[in-house]
Formats: sequence, structure tokens, C-alpha cells
Amino acid sequence: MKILICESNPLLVQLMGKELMSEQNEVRLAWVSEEMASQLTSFAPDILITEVLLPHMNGFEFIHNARLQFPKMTIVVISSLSSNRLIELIFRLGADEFISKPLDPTQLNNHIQKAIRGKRNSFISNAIDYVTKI
Amino acid sequence: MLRKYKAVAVFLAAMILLIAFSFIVKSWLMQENWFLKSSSAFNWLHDLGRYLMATIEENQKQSTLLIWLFPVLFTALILTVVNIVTIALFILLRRWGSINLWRRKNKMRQKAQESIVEYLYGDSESALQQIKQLNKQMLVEEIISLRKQITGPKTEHLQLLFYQLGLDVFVTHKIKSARWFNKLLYIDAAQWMQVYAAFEQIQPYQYAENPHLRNVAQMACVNLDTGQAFAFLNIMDQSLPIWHQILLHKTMVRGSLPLPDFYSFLHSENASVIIFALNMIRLFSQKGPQNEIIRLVTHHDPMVRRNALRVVRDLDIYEAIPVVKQNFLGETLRVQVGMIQALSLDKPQETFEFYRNIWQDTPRRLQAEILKHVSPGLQAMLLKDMEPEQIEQK
Repeated sequence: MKILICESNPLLVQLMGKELMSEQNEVRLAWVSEEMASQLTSFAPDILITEVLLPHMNGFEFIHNARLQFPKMTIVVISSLSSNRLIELIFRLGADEFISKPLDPTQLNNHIQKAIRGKRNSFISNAIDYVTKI
Repeated sequence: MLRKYKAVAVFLAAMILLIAFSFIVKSWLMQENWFLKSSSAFNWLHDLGRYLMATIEENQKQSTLLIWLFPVLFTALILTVVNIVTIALFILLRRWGSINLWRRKNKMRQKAQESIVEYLYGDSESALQQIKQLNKQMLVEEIISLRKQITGPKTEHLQLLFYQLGLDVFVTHKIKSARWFNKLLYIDAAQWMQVYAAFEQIQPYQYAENPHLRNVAQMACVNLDTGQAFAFLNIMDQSLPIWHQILLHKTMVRGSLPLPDFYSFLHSENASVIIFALNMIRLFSQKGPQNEIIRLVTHHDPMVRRNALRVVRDLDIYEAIPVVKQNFLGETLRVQVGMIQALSLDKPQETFEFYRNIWQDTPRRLQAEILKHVSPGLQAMLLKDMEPEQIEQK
């Protein structure tokens, strides 16, 4: 799987990269805003892990654009935001999973699996809905 | 008086200096052979000055004022050029220096980050040897920035690294640093890395003049002292900002710290401390003498009264209801809104009686607030008492 991690703290981004690095995964890291947008387009990841509070960039807009660009991509958002309204907004913009900071990097894989399962289930239920409607 | 004419005095002094310097320049230009003649660096300037002076003097059409002012203008021109060149050089050198410094620091920071990741996920021993050679302040900054973002087993590794590098001793020593922002960094580091030995050093800063330093020191003391963590609230003269109150609450929740008896702070003369104590009593539902809360419903500070009313409502202190009703009419609008919310505890019939008695003397905004907080049955009964015009307006 192709994973892109976008986070402004370079140390945290490297830590998450090490956690997800394996034979099955190709991981790319971006901690500079300009790189994030360009990597997203050029790398076309299966999973995007991103922070919302990004320097020189609107994280909400970034998530929204990523969802529009890659509808099948799994988006996992990590943030220290605690407002329910904002978290709800993040999900409405297209996120599949939200991890609040401080996060346990050893649990990152579980969160990703959960997000993928959730996406698959919603896809199946949508497909069933569509078929039953027909 | 002296300050008033300071600018005039400086201007006059500058003018005198300029004129004096102009005389020197004039005498320099008048001499064909001067003492720095051997220095070719100034020859062109001397020649240029002499040429210009001769041109002005030869030209009959030029005014005498220009001839007289020429040395001054020439001097001002030289000084301006020298000034511009000096400032430009200074700016360029500083910029070049700061870019170089930033590049060097960035390189070292990258190296530190790679080594820390290597320590956490790879060969700890060799990574540790590499990290030991790096700048300690930068390591503290990096480790703390990561520590704030993560939880779980990796935090223990990070803490171990911090102690293995001897950064606990470094941090404790550096808290005495002269710059307040460095103090802030090291106090924060001591707090996050649980450096209990630093407590003694941090304690005096709980009452510092600088609000940032004071707040960080207070947070650190709450984290590091297991005994009298909130003792600073008893002595504090300054206001406790709302943002700091939130951070203290977060610290207690995050660290699962043992809660102090917040009722003991309700006698403080500092209103912000009382408000903080009331908020903590409400958020942690701490039980204690209810008389203390009821007493604060009539406190002289309206903010304290509002917060006391919130506690009355959330902790179901029924005994406060008569006091609330007694003081309702003389209160400010905001406190009255708090009182209406607190009165939702009361029995419906008694609330109705109370509201009916005060209904005519209550402003419309409050009447609307009352209607929001009573049951639909009471709403209908209260609206029945009102005139049709009033209902229409509402």
C-alpha cells in the first residue's frame, strides 16, 4: 500500500513513518506545506495520514481537495483539535478516521486498519443500498 | 524640561559638528598637498572636491551662498554615502550570518531528529553515542516537542533517552538561565520529563512578574509536587487567566493528579482564584461544605456570583434557592440569567409563584429567559398573566 504522511512536526512524521514502514507499504513523508500538495498529486497514495493544523496551509481545504481528487483513498486525520463541531466537519469533508493528539504511534496500524474496514463496510452497504433500490 | 528640549539639543549639536567638520573639509580642500597625499584611496575624493570648488568659484553666475555652503554640502554628501555603505554592509553581513546560522542549526536539528528516531526504532547504543555529541539545548527542544505529541510505550523510551543523556541535570542547572524564554523551555522540559529534582529551582518562579513564566512554573509545580501542588493559589496576588485555568484543569486530568480540597480556596481574596476553585468543584463534582458555595452567591464580585450559581445548579444545592430568590431583583442582568438557570432546581409550583411575583418588574429579555427554563405548563401559566400585546411582541 502507498501511504503519505503529512505533518508539520518532522520528528513525529519520521516516527510515524518508521511505525508504518514494512515490505507491503511504501511510505512517503512530507512536513513542508508545498511538498504535501505536490506529493499527494504525484504519489497518489492509497492512504493519506494528515494533520489539520498545518503551517501556511488550510488543512480542512487540503482534506477536501484530497477527497475530491482521490475518492477511493482512505484519509486518516490526526489533530489536537477537541471541538466536536470541527471533528464533525473533518468527517464531512471526507476523513475516514480521526486520531486525537497526543497519539500512541504503536497504535497507528490499528487505526489505519479500522479506517480501511470502515471504508470497505460503507462501500458494501452503499452497494447493497444501490442494488436494492434497483 | 530636559526631555522636552532633548531633540532640539541633539539637532543643534549635530549642526555644530557638521559645520566644524565642514571647516576641516574646506581647509583640506584648500591645500594642494595634504598629509594623506601618499594614500591613493582618498586622492580622487580630494581632487573631486577641489575641482567642484574651483568650478563654483569660477562661475560668476553662482551665488555666494552656494560658495559658502559648498563645504557643508560636500561633507553631508560624504557622510551620507559612508552611512549608506556602512548600513548596507551591516545588513548584508547580518543576513548572511543569520542564514548560515539557520542552515547550520537546521542541519544539526535534522541529525538530532534522525538519531532520536534511530534510538527509538533501531540500534539504541550507537544512536546514543551519536546523540551525545549534539547540542543539548537543541536536544531538549526536539525531545520535548515530540513528547508533547505522543503517548504510550514510546514516551518511556523517550524519557529514558532524556535521562541517559543527562539532560535532567542540564535542565535543572539551566533553569537559572538569565533569559526568560530559556527558563520557560527548561521549566517546561522538567515538567514533561518529570524531573522532580528541579522542583526547588522552579518554585520561586510561581510568583514571577512575567505572566508566561509564572504560568509555566505554576503548571510545572502542579505536576511535580505531590504534596502541596496548589499552594501557590493561597499566596497569589495576580489574576489567574482563564486560559491558564483551562491548562491547569487539563494537567490534572492528563496526569490523573490527586485533587486538592478546592473548598479551601473559596476564602481567597483573589476573585480569579475563587472562580478557578468554583469551576474545579463543578467540573470534578467535588463534595464539601455547601454553606461556602451559598455564601458566594452574594459575593461582591459578579463573576464569582455567576460561577457560584453554576455550581449551585450543577451540584443540586437546593439550600441556595431561598438566597437566590431573595437577591434576584437587585442583581445585574447576567447574574439574573444565571439565577434563572439555578432556579430550575426548585419545585415547579414554588418557581411559578416566585416568577409571577416578579414578572411585572422583569425586563423582557429576562422574561424570555425565564420562559426558556420553565416547563411548558408553567410557560402557559406565565403567558396567561401577560397582556395580549406583550405576548405578540414576544
